[in-house]
Amino acid sequence: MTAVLPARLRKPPGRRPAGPPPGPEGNGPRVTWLGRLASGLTAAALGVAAWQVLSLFSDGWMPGAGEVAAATADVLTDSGFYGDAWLSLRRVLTVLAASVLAGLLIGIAAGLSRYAEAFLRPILVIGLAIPDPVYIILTILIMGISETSGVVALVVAITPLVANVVSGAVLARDHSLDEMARTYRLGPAAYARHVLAAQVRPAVVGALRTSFAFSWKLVVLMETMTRPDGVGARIYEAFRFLRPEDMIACALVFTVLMRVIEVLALRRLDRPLPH
Amino acid sequence: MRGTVPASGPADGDPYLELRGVTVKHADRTVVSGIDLALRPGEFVALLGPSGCGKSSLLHVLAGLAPVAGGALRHRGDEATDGLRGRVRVGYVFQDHRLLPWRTVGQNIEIAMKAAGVPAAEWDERIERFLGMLRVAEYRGSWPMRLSGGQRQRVSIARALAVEPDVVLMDEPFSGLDEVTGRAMRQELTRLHEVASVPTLFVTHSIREALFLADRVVILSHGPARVLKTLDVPLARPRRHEDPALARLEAETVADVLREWDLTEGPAS
Repeated sequence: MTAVLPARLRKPPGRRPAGPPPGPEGNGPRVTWLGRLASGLTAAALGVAAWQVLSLFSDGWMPGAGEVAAATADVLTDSGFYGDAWLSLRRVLTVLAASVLAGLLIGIAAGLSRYAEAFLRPILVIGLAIPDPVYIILTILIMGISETSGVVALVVAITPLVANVVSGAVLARDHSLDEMARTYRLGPAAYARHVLAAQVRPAVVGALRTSFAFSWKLVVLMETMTRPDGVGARIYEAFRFLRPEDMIACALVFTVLMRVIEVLALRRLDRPLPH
Repeated sequence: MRGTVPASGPADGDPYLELRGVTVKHADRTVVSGIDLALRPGEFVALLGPSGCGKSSLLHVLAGLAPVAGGALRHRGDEATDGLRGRVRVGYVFQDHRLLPWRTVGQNIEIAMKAAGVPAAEWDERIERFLGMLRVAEYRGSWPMRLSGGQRQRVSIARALAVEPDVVLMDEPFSGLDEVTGRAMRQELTRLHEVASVPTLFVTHSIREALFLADRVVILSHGPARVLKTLDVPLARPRRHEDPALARLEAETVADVLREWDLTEGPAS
């Protein structure tokens, strides 16, 4: 026998298969990074040009690209903005954590038990169908305007989304592995860790990313409606005082910030299963 | 692994497992009807039946995956009709490997051993031993899906034996393998059984496989399964696939089975 490292210490085999990857990239000539950069810059330049043209036909209501760029520079040098951005980000993370946790629990219950699924399915369907601002309005009517009511509204809005994705993944699990687990008497914790988690993980990561995208947009919306602070409140203030360039600049900077967080934090979770 | 039948085993004359008139149902449908069967300590019994006759359902009952719908189940002479869970540690080899693709070969075996209560200090030695016996030791750190079908099934057998089983249940484990690999695996299994002497119930629909492996072959009817005939295999061990005596016995058993399954007027198979 060849000498082997203990299984836990071994690095998984390389995951990049040999040869060209499947999908569109494998069907034609590969685009170099330089080509990609040039394409991206061209698209951005066209977007800015289109923006500039539209601003010329908007009777001065729509700021030009230069005004937006100047406002963006102001936002970036304004320390108050970072305080508001941190406040919004904290709300986003709170909503995300609570809704993913609740959605996971509900989704796993619905996926593992037919009775729970029969009970929860109509609730999830209705929960998904209700427009998100309705949750915010209803929660304000019930709980009043407060930090808590805003967060609760968004958790209630996003939880059905997570639960739906997770329950689908749990239902679609490999039932033959359940049989194996029962035969070898794996306890609930071992079953969850070794059998279920890996099968549900891609769906959970997908739900996490979608929830994050929904969370920060809804947090901004909620802040415009109910809060005196946060990025949403800044955007609303700029709208009230007819400063569209500030409004756009705030939204632009916060959007970039959220995208960076998504790419750096959430994309790292995308890890294919060994095959 | 328990090398021999424990001295404190069943009382003289008591089979290790005994089924009396056992009936198994799926919903309202009877899939096994009044089976009488005994598995003696250290014995290798093959259950031979046509596809879909309920052989696998019987194994499910013994593995504790399904309840007994009628009849009685006894373990070493004691009543066990409510199920063998908690009484018997089962090593199960499924028709497909059923290894966790996201755990390495070694981890798959570790998980089963941990659940079976095998002391952690013994894991390493057991993994080495059983993977070595099945000639897949070098794949301990590999992902199961990187292995061939035969190698995966070897790992699956190693897992079944590593949990220190009281009984091994095998559900057509070699039916998905090519002929050469299947032969090699049967040879390995015979060797392992001689070393381990764990009572083994082996489900198959291959007559030659049943005769090559088993001490006793129980021929089942079309579903719902019932016992048509029991055959003590009169072949000395070690057995060889090329043995003319095996071929003769196979021919006789085929004729017998065709008659029992009422296929003598049907197309030759």
